[in-house]
Amino acid sequence: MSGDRFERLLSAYLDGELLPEEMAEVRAHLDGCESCREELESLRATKQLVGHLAQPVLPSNFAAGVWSRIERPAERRWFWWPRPAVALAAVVLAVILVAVPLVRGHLDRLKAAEVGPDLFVRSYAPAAAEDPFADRAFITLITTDAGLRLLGEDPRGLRR
Amino acid sequence: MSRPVTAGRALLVLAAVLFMGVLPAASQDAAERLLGGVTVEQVARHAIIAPQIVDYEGTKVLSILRGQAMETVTVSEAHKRPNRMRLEFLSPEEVAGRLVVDDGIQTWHYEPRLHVVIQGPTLGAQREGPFDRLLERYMISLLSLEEVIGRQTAVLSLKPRQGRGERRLWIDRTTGVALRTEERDPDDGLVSTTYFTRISYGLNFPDALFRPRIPAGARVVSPAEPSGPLVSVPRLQQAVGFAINAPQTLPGGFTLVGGEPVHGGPLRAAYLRYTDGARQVGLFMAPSARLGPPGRGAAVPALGGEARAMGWGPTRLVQWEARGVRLTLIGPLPLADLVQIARSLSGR
Repeated sequence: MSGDRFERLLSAYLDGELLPEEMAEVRAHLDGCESCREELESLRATKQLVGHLAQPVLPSNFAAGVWSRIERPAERRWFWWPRPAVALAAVVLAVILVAVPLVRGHLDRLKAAEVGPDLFVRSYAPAAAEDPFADRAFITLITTDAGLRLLGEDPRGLRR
Repeated sequence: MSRPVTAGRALLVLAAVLFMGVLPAASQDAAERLLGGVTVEQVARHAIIAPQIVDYEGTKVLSILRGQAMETVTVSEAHKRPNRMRLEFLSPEEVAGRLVVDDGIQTWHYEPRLHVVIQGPTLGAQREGPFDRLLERYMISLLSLEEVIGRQTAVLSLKPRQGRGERRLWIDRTTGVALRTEERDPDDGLVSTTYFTRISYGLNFPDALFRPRIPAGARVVSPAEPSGPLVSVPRLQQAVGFAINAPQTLPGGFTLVGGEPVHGGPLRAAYLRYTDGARQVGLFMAPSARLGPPGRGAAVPALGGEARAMGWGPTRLVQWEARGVRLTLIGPLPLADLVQIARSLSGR
């Protein structure tokens, strides 16, 4: 049997709560183990110290009160009121869920209006080139400029 | 009550009729004599089919009215029949190095400043439409014979019979290539000129010159989704998901050719194409609720508070709103004519 196991049995040994054969075994171990004897003395001193503390006087209805609280059915909560941080996070999430599509839709509408003329110039260019007297170099120039603006670039960027 | 026609009045009317009828015939004869037995119409037709029968390479100068200023661009242009093209922009500095290759199917535009290649549909479409229709819609006359960069040209004037504006073309009498062009606007005057400063014909250009070579590491983008074949208005309506009120004709003799849906980023629109036999007009429609207010361009009070106009040389664009629809008209017309078409579409 290991020393750790004897240390765990010392408190029960002091209180006389071990089986007779365990009592004999602990006793035999204590004869040969100085550290366990010191631990036993330390435990004994602690128990004596605690035993000298004054006993608190409980009210006569203390036990009844405890039992009545144990046996009382759980109160039913009609409203769930979260903690403030959770409530704030929920509100922020709700605002984001509503605001993001609105803002995104608005930006898309603005973007659509902004790209409109350049997209239309590019879409129109092949038809313009069917004009038998149109200059293809000119059509190419305005088409490539429109393409650059659609990419968000200034066609004459070096002037910036 | 009708008044008796006097002998003097009758003479005046007769003289006017003779003047109107005989003079054009006389000028036609004079033109034919000048052209050595070739008619003005034949010269115009030669110009239309020239890209299909001749290869050339040259340096061209484009001057385009942008806002209140003329912008001049120099470009090296190579053409291989029937519809392949290579353009290398030389000046100004802002566009120098820009390269455009059109293989007759697609166009690749390389922008060296951004190291990006923009892909798009070909601009080398078949150009020879019904020539009779062109003659019906345009007055074509010979202005003079002139020499341009050492070559004999016939200077033709094309004026739409229903509309304003004028095109002048200096047609090489041997090859049919337009060596010089001018677009004149009744309100703004000369809005664009193009002219070759040198040209070489009949060169056997290698095919490789008209094939795209994507520079290593360049980003290839296609900012507008490719368009499909033209469809009827009911089918276009199904494709875009909103009602389209498309007239069959527009003022100025433009007739509906067909439509196609246009998609680009968040924008969805219906595109209707009109032509008068030469010039092409595009009408774009999109529900206003899906768009923000028009941003760029000059105000057009005649079409309402938010209407805007912009232009690049002869090509003008107006945007306005009517009955919950954002409409955009684009074409090589004087702004006043485009506004007139817009007003007819809005019932203003």
